[in-house]
Amino acid sequence: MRKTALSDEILLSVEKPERYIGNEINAVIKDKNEVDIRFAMCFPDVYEIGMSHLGIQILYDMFNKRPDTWCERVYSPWTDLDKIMREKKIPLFALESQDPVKDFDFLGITLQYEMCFTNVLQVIDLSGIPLHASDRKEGDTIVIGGGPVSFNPEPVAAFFDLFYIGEGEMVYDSLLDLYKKMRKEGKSRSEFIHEAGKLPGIYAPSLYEVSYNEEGTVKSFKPLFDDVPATVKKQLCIDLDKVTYPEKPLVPFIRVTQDRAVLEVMRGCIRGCRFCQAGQIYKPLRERSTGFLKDRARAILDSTGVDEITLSSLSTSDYTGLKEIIEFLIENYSDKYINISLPSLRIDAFSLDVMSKVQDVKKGSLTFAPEAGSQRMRNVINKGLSVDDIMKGSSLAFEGGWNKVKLYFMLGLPTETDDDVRAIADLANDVAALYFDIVPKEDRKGIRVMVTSSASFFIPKPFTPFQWAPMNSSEEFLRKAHLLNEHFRDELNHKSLKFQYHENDLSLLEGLMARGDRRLSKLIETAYNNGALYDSWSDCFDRSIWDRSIEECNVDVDFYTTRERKTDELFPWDFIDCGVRKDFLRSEYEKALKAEVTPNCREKCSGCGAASFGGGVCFEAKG
Amino acid sequence: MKLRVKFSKHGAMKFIGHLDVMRYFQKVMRRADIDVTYSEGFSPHQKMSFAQPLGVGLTSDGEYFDIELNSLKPLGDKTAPDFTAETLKQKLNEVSAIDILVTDIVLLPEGAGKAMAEVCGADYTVRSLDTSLDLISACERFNKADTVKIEKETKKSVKEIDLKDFVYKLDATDKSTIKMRLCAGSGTNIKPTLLLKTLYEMNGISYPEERSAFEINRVDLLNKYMKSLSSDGKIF
Repeated sequence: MRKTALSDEILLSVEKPERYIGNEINAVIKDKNEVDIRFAMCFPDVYEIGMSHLGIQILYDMFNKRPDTWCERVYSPWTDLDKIMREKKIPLFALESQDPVKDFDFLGITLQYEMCFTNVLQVIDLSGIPLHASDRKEGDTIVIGGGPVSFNPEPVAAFFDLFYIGEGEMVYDSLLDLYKKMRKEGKSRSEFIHEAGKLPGIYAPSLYEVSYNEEGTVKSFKPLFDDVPATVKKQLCIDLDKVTYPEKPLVPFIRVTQDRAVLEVMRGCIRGCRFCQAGQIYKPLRERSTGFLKDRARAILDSTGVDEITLSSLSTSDYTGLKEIIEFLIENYSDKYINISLPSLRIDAFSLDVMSKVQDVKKGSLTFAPEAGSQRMRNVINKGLSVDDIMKGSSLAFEGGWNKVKLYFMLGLPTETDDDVRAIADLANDVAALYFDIVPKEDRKGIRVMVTSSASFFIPKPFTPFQWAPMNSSEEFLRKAHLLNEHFRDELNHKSLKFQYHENDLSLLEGLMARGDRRLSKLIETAYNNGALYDSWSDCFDRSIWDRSIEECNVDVDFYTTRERKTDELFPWDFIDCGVRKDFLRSEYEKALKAEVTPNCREKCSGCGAASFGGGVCFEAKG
Repeated sequence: MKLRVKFSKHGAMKFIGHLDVMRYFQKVMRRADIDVTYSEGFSPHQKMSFAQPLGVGLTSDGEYFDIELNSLKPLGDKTAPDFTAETLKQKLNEVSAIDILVTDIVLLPEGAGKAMAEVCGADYTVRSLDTSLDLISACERFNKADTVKIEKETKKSVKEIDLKDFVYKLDATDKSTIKMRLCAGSGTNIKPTLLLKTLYEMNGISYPEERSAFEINRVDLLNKYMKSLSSDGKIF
């Protein structure tokens, strides 16, 4: 029988004790005395969210393939257990061995969204590791960050010893080898961090110094030592068939957010939407071969027994082997009734045909992401989706029996006018009207078509053409949301239209953190000490804590959010080389302001700089 | 054909709730390539039905579910020999989690009732970590009483019952261990904690607040003959 770090009494008094006991199918158990390196891999959110994340499954598998390393998992304890652990001084533990995290060599934390920052502090704090990297001593666990938010790690730089910039498959082996070697040689913790900081893709914040201009912008960002590189280059795998992909992913007992097998068909995106950070930082697009994917699909389904598999990527319709993979899955797994889920599909004849085969038509709704209501606005954001595409897709869908359509939009995009805002409701109205044109009354079976539009607030992100752009103020966001809501009510088909928008308190903080610098670490720590936790959960998020903390730390929020940056401003994240050049992003911003579109990577190379990685779509024969 | 699978659940697996155990076994069936019968319709599901749910925090040596199979051959291999009860058990345990173990599989006769409908009783062993009540004399007192009237909450109301009618056996084997046989099933179902609370109440001692004061193990589920649910079927 396995031990648990928590007593039965505690496990029986918290919500979902299954979050804390481990022992899932395909969990890796090793003898801790037989390994050299113990790595605790953390997703700083609740178990159900963290277990749904592919990146951790990949690294977990890759690390555990090393005989000298045992990688285990850690998630944020939910608020009920958090309280008990503080009261009873129980240290945070890893799921597999149930041993305290502070006994581990590494604590790796993936940063998937900015609003997890207080949970990052919770994990470090509950582990009993000093919050500030500068306070850590010999023998303290090395804290390393990764994931997309690490592309601007500065707001949390004070809490990390190292960051890994880019795809984990590339340099982690070298990092672990270096650690093992230096420890054997009796080298110190700080000597290791210094050496690690010289590895490609590894950023050690303590080895760099920032100075600021009087108006608050970054003046300089320099390494403190001659042997430390001035820029950190994003790490990226060119041949995705050559890197490891888990054949035995973990199978949780409880229902998690993504309760299915994930087949990552490709990385990167050809579509250069100007608001999208993922589209830039994962460039260039690289596909996996259908042979590789079939092998992995078979292994994963056999080893997990899950009833659903998702073909994942930023834009799965752009995967050239899509049809072949879907046919393979239908052919081989119909006897096990495996569902195939296809997120991020473009709606066209092919995808509708596929969906009607693999999904329950009656239940589902179709989702489009026009992101903006007017064509001008869509040109600004370079969303290559025309009214024609939307109308054609909708009419095919209505003919195919769907009667629910979801439309995703953003408010607060650069250059947006009130007319652009109102165009959102007009577009939704046109889609509803199309239903009445296409589906004769006798075929409607008393069901009303429902077009649901939801709007989120646009947040400018680093490494996008909009990194210079001002973000709307909270007041402006709300004004636009209300304006739009009223316009929805005036539409002819308003009974078939639903409109919803997300509260914007979080957007403001996300905007602050996204383009923040090192000085924000004090604010994050203050908010955490004032009780902020699980900020991405609307029922946990407490705006007043942040307001108070912002005041205590004297942070000028507008400086980070609503201020338009100057062309030559040095950004806190400019020391990272993500492949796409800054001057390319700037030219894209200028084209955006003129509502000019840029063709996608398969139509025409725009010379963004990602070709420097030497592979992917940049070297495909152009059609 | 319909099989009845008996399994045990120990250690930390006692924290896995009933619905999650069901989902867990659906995945076990697919991992083991079992030729399970699926329901018709838009969202087909395995024809699997569980007996009496077990509360979170209880261990068990006697959990059951019935499952319908198209054949005893592994999926996709028509030339393989039929599974026997023993080889099927092995196959399922190869793909099982630590501390959940299939212990017995039987073939049910045509027209056998569903596992849940067959349940009439349950045996439990309770180990008490609380010393405030003398279990030996408390059990004697209960056994000697003519009636033990208590109020039992049902879904709709609270009604008075005579607990003696539903406690078939009660026996303290030493000062910290009790064995009990209780009425169970979809009609009246008596939880071991209800009997424990009653024992404390009868002796004027307050029931311990700790949720972990008792380690409760379900030993088996019983049919109307007070025989193990497995006895409804036969070895194959």
